[in-house]
Amino acid sequence: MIIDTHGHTKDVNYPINSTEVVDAATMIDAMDRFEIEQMWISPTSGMVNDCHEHNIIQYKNFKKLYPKRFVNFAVINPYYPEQMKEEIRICFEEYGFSGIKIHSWLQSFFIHQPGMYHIMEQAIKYNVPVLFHDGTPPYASTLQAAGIAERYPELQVILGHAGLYDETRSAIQACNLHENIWLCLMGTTIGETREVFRDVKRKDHLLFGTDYCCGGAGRIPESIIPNRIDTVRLACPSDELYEQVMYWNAKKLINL
Amino acid sequence: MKIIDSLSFIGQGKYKNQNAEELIRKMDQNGVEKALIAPVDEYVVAYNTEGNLLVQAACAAYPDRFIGYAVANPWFGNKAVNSLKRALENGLSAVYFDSSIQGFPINDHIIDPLMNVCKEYNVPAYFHTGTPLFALPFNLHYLAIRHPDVRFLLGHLGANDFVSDAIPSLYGRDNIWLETSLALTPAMTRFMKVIPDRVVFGSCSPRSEISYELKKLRYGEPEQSALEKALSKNIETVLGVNYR
Repeated sequence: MIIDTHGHTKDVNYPINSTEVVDAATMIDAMDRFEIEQMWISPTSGMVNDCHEHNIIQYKNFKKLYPKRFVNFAVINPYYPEQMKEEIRICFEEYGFSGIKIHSWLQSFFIHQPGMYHIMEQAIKYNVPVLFHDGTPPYASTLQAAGIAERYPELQVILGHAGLYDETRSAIQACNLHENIWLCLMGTTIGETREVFRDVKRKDHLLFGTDYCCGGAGRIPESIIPNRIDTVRLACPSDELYEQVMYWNAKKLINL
Repeated sequence: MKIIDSLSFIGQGKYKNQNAEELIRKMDQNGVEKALIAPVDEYVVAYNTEGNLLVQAACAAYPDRFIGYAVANPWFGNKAVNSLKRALENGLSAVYFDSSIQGFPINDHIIDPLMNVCKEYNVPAYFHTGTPLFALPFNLHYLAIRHPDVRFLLGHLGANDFVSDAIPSLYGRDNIWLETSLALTPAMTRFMKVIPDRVVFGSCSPRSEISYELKKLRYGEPEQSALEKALSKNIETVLGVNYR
């Protein structure tokens, strides 16, 4: 079985003018076919629209319907500091969210600024991990996100793409330097994924993700799931480590 | 169906390691008839002449299986021009650039003397793309405007995060083709449907695997004619009639 630690829900208006909505049953069907027991999800539309509205849609239309299959990550927007204080309280105290998702590239802000630091302090208060998009300069380079882990050693930081194609080695260095960094293997090449398996010291800090279903549903959009499973399968040196990365490490980080 | 792999590597490098025989074995396992090969890592950045000799030797050993990329780093100035001319005169059929490790934006004028060599010898130029800020699809677009007589291969469809720029970067240009390695099935499928004459298959082996790259390409069940073009016909067009 697989725990996909980097998934999304898809609602209207992302990409621009999109009207496609993927419902929970469709996602569950795809998850079943690829043996994904659980998916950690955040609302893609919430990154470019009202995050409160989309966080609550995700709770009502996904988490509430399939509480064991979905783990909710709230999208938080530092451009609205006062509203976010309440948003964080609502998400974690009333709706039982399990983490925070930051996509500073799509959300258009620099990671290191006072508004973000406040959000990170709230994540520490609620003891939830923060999942960053990383690997895309100038707003979301891997070491910008890793800098949060260095600043807040008690915070659990997940680098959501382990550096993508160009910053994998930075992700490896960061993960080896800071004990509070986890790497999600999603978006690295087979070659660099092999380097991750070889060079990361704490193998229990390696996770798996797919990005499903940010591109929508159906055979072609959901092909990112087998594409990414194949990458890890081909790169991983042993069956034991494969199971650890695809399932048990995530279970240890968030065990509902 | 005939398969030509438009990008793979040989040599023992800092990060990539694969000898000619290993690559031939993978090609045989996956029904790949020919592969365009470039030397790895430091040969691309610094030891260009040695890299070219390595590729020439592999092409001589397997003339029916390999087509050779030459490498040249424009920072070496006239030395690079002369080295590249020698490599092309010795049978290499295209030129491979990775400006993200060679140290220049694709559209920087430093590359112009080497583009003039490509035009003079009528060979295509491959550029790695997807890496900000030196190697993005629109950097190549500007170079292609400046050198309309050179045929360009845009590497990796701009993957990861710049796939959305790949098709827009073709606007007004008939001298750019898109190479698929490292991209994912949704992009490959869409591009084969929308611009079937501009897509060429590559594996980027050993950074990726031939089997994996072919599986991604076929997963979307593209039209047979589009698949045939991507797997061989388009790269034959790019290479021209004189490739070896």
